[in-house]
Formats: sequence, C-alpha cells, structure tokens
Amino acid sequence: MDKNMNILVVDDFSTMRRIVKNLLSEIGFNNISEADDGKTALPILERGGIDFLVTDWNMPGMPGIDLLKAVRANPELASLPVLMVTAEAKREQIMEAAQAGVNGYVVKPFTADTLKEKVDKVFERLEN
Amino acid sequence: MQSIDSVTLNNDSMVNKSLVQAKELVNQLELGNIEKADMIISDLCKIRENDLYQEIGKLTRDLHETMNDLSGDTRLRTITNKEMTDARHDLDYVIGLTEESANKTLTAIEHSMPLLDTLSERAIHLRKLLQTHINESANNTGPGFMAAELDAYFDMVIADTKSVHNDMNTVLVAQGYQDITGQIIQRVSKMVQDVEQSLVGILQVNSHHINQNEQNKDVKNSAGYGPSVPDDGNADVMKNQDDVDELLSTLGF
Repeated sequence: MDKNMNILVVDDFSTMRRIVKNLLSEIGFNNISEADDGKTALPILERGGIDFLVTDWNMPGMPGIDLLKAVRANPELASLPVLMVTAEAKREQIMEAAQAGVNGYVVKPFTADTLKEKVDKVFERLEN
Repeated sequence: MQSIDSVTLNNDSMVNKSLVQAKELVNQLELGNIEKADMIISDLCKIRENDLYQEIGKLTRDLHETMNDLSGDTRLRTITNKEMTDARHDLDYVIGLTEESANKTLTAIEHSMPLLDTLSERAIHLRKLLQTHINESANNTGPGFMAAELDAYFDMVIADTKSVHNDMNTVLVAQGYQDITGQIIQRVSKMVQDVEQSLVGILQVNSHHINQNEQNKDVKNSAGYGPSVPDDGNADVMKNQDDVDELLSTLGF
C-alpha cells in the first residue's frame, strides 16, 4: 500500500471530512483532497491522479451510490478502489453498493480501528 | 334516535309503497303499456337516487364546516404560520451549534496531536541517550545524577503520551455524532416542512380537497435514507459494522 497515494474524501458534513482525513493521516496517508458531494467529486476524479475514493452515501446533489456507479461506468476510473463510509445501513443498500462494485463498506458511527482495518482490507484484496 | 317501532313502521310503509308500484308495473306490462311501465321504473329509481343525494349533500356540508373550522382555528394558524417555521429554525440552529462545537474540538485535537507526538519522540530520543550514558558509566563511576528517576520519567512520558494520543483519537472519532445527529435533524426538519406545506394548503384552499403533498413513502430513495435510529424495529437495517461485515461476506467480500 503506497502511503503517498492521493485520496479523495467525499462527505457533505465538513466535520466528518475532517475526522476521516485525520484518521487517514494517522494511518500514514497525507495526500488527501476533499469534496462535499458527488457532483463536485466527479470532476476532480475525472481530472485524474486520485488513487483511492472514500465516500459518504447520503449527500445533496449527487449521492455516493450514484458517484460509485459513475466511477464504475467511466473506463478511465472503473478500477478505482472505493470505500463507502456512511450511516446508510439498510440491507438492500449494502447489497446495491456491493453490486455496484464497492470495495469496502464502513457504517457510521465507526471506530478508528474499523476504518483502518477496512482500508487495509481494500488494498489487501486488490493486491491478491 | 329513531325507535325500533318507528323504523319498522317506516320500513313497512316503504314496502307497501314499493309493493303497490311493483304490482302496478306488472299490471301495466301485462296490458302492454310500455310507456307507463317505464315511468314506474324511473319513479322507483328516483327514490334511491334521492336518498343518495341527501347523504352526499350532508357529507359535503360536514366536510365544508370542518374545513371552515380548521381555517378559523387561530391556534392551527399560529402553529402553521409561525411555530412550524420556528421549529425548523430551531433545528437548523442545533445543527449549527453542534457543527461549531465539533469543529472547535477537532481544531483543538489537530493542534494538540503534533505537540503530543513531539513530546513522545523527544522522550524516546532522550531515554535512548540516557540509557547509553547509564551503560557507559556503569563500568567506571556509576550512573549520573538522578539517572534512574529520569529513566522512569521518560518511560512514563512515552506510555502516557501514547495513551493520551489514543484518547484524542477516540474524541476525534466521537465528533462523528455531529454528522449522524445532523442527518437525523435534517430529516425531521424536512418532515416538519412537508407537514407545514400541507397545512398551508388546507388553510388556503379550504373548500378544495388537497392531496398533492402526499408522497409514497415506500418509494425507493436513491438519495439515501439517512442514519437509522436505534430500536426503530426495522429488521432490514444493520445494527452495527459486524452485521454489515456478515452481510458483505455472504456477497463474497
């Protein structure tokens, strides 16, 4: 896992973006960009250079699930690892995210250890 | 209230009247008098129609009066025009306050963490120097002034800064409450707004039935449903990360 990779954190709540950003920097990632919904995130992703997407689901404008689908539908971005960090916890939603090709799913509220474990797992699975 | 006797009497007289008309109908048909027979049939139907129109008329008047009462209800007007709006402002204010407070906490944590880490790094460095000194001086003059105390102190600083660092991380993650509660408050606020709009509609158009704000709650919501509230009894909602992991593992994760 390359600690210099560029990560995009997408959440409409600035507090949650700060929390995720701090936890990621605790793990050793320091190149982190932010966006507040799918609409602002997509152009950043399309510009290229982002190696890992961490996104919320419930956001105004463009929700995370639509962002995930847009990413998978774009040949340039299709293989981008995506971790969902969200309070959405309905069975059908988790299944929808899995079918849409999410790489990991963390449900809020979470602990620092859970986030770290899921990030590790995403890259472990990609390397195998 | 009508007595049973009068109802029976009423029914009896209606039956008699209908019987007379029915006999007359058969009579006219037997005579081949189609026009007369038609008139009797339409008379019979009118009796039923009149009853129906009377009932509809009564219901319409009741509904109209209820609507008038509603729009004249000053308490309801106050709730609709002022208190609902106030309630939404109150909820927005709570979101603002919790956001401000969570951000202050995050700023304090972001400020303290590097200080704490530097303290820890310095202590690790000094303990290493001290231990080299202790090892070297053991062979000749013995350890220097307060060497054992300093060594113990550095041990304590290293262990305690680590512990405080972990606590800080817990405080950091705990600020996630602002996101969760904020989403729930936004959802309640939206509901209050919908109710408010419906009430405004009722008050404005009191003689028209309005149902345009009615929404199908079972419609799939791609924008997301927001956080679940514990014990809301929905078996389809995962209670924690373990539930989510279990579901994902059945999906090949």
